[in-house]
Amino acid sequence: MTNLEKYNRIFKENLGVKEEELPGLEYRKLPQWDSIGHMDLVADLEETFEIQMETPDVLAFTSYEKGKEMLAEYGVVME
Amino acid sequence: MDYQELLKLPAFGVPQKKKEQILAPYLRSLTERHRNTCAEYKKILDAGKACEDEAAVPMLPAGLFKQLELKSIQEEKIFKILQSSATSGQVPSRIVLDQKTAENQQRTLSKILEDFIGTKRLPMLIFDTEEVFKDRNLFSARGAGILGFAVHGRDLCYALDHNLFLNEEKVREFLSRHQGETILAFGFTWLIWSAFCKPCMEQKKVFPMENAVLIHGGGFKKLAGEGITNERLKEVLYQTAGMKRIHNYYGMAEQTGSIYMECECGHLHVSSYSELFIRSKNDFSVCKPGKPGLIQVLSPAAESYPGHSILTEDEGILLGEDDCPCGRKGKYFKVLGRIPAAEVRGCSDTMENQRKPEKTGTKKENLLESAAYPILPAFSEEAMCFLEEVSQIIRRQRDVFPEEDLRSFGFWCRRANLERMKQQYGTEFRLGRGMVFHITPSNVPVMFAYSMAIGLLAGCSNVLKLSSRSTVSGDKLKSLFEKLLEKKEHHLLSSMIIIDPYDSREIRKTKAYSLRCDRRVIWGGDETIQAVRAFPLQPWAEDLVFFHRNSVMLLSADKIRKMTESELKQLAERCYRDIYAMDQNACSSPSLLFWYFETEKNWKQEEKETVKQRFWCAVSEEAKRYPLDVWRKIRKWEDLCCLAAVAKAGTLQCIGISAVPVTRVKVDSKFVSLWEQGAAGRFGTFFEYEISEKEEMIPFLNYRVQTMVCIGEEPDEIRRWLVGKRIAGVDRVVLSGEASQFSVRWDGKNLIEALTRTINQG
Repeated sequence: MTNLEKYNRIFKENLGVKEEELPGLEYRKLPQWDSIGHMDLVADLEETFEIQMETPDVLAFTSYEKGKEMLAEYGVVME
Repeated sequence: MDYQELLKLPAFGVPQKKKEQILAPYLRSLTERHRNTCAEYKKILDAGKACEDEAAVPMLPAGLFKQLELKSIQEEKIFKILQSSATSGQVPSRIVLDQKTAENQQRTLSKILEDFIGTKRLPMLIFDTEEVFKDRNLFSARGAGILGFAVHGRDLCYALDHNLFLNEEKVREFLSRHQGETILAFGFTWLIWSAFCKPCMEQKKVFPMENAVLIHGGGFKKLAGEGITNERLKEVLYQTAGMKRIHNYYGMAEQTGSIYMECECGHLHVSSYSELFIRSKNDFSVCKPGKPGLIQVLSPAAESYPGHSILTEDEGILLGEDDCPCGRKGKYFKVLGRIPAAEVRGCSDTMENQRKPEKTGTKKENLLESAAYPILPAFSEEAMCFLEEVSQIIRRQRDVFPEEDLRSFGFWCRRANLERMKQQYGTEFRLGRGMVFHITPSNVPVMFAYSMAIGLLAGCSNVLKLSSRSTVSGDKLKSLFEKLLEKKEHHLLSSMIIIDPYDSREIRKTKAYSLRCDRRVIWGGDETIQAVRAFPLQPWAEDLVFFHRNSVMLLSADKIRKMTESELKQLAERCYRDIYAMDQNACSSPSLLFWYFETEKNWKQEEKETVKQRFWCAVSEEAKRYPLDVWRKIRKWEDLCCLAAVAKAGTLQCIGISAVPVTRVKVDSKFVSLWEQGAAGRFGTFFEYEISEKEEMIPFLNYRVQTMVCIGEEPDEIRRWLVGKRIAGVDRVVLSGEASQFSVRWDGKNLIEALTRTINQG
């Protein structure tokens, strides 16, 4: 599974959305992506990609796209 | 007009409209009298918003009389202080009476009773024990009630013995002595049920009491568990004693005498000597008949204390006015019961919700005895694996652990975060200190878990004293830990953890654990800490105390002014987490807000207001999801009344009863002393203070201040500024959104370092 596939799977599983809904997805636009859902997303990303996100990044992770940029900074490359 | 004139009115013979014309001006002038004679009352009114109500009589929360002894008379005029009956663990109300008020209350009661039983004194049977007058503690609660009614009786007969069992012989003798006469029976509802109805039913006993008029009060609160209603009580009394004339009454210690009697149609009636409104649980406006809400009672008899207008925590419903089939004039209503107390999170609060005593397992006792506690290196794989498993279970089982505080804990002890802590604080030469005795706070239910996690990561054995109060989150975590510790792979850890919920009054345990421990961690209010410190430690042991703190927020008005709508929305979301996550009741929840309007920006007053408005609109929008129930609304208002009463005049502005999650209170520089004593907002209460120089914050930044949340300011710069100014307080400076995050460094201490030692070289 590629990193992008893993990344998408985490979103889909956590938020219960379909692949095509992912682009443009923003924090708190979905009821499931509230501050609690957010913690679960972060924890799963960290676990899957074996990284440790810093608090400012956890706070700045506000959309599907932002998340990708952030992961790139931790060395997780997505094609 | 004085009260004696008022008492000349027939108790239930004045139509509502006419009564209002008489009572409203009377109550208004009484408000003015209290304002002039009770300094605290004046301060509360002056700090509040004007009351534009139908009654135009400002009300006070009933709970305020538990916190303050309010009086409108001189010390030497005090005749007695009436204490309400308080169930265990609760604080009783203290009502200050002078001779005149006490007499007026008695006369009021008598006038009301006369309407039901006439002026002739009747043989009286009291469902209570005579001991009630011998035991001073009982006297305050029940004795006063009995005495008030007893003036209408003669040949008093106390039906219960000192163990509250029915003295059958005595009662039968009394009844035969007064055969054919109308007798007056009186007692508290719960006692009549438990000491008379229930045993009579069980033993199939019958008493000839067809001629009795029974008056009972005190409510069905204590009987709620048994499902006893007024109707059921009447039914049983009819079956066992043939009683048909049964009158419940509604009343309270805060307004003794002016009771609300139940008529033959089962309705509670407001007499000519009092007034009653039902207020909306949403916004406290006056409700029309048929709509349930909180009961507000007004009594013109309250002269010696400013309790002539009180908002109770009872729910009721107005049924109508002037048209009860029983013929009595005025309003009539129904009581629905007490509003439930919420489970408040945070650091300090008193509430009763006692956990059933648990059987102490032999394991616990053995561990207390055992000579040595296992220790581990800091950040041992055993501890990390256990916490990681806890985290995974909480995160995976969202439906089992939906509580926000549990999810935050689950997030906090995820592997990635544990690894980060290990990198920051772990070395291979770091070892646990030994046994840590944690005294955890009762109102942050998950705090014990954080405290335990730190203890485990440090490599220590842990004894955790939990509150004896049961909480949803606390209980879930406790049983999750216990279940996991049964697993074979956590065998070692299970010998390092004792979770022991016990009542703080069980000092035997606190004493024993204190003597055994190497570190004692105390989370709690100032009083808890002082009390625990009385128990000695071993010479090598040390205390780690986390006393009651409060927190501040620094807002750069200029930055907020320049924010885009979406930036503002995000900011509001973060602030929401900082403030409301723990009911704003944790030490790290900011409640004092510094609005920083830099001088060089030449702020105009209306610009200032616009910025504030902008920020609060955004926060209010977020806070819509905050479950602000009526109980919290009342506590919030009560807290503010209490602060206004003890503050110097003019310290607080706008403290009216607030129905919204954001309650803003403007404070001036005199607020410093209250702040230092630990004042803090709860449930969304904000003390706003304007500054034009950072230096103006300094008087507020005392040793009590824990966290400073920065908005539009760089935390590092602020930290430098704090050091540069040699500030006594502020242990952490965070960005918005981070205030409620638990960290290894807490209250300026590194917990891992405090609970470990390193074996050094050289």
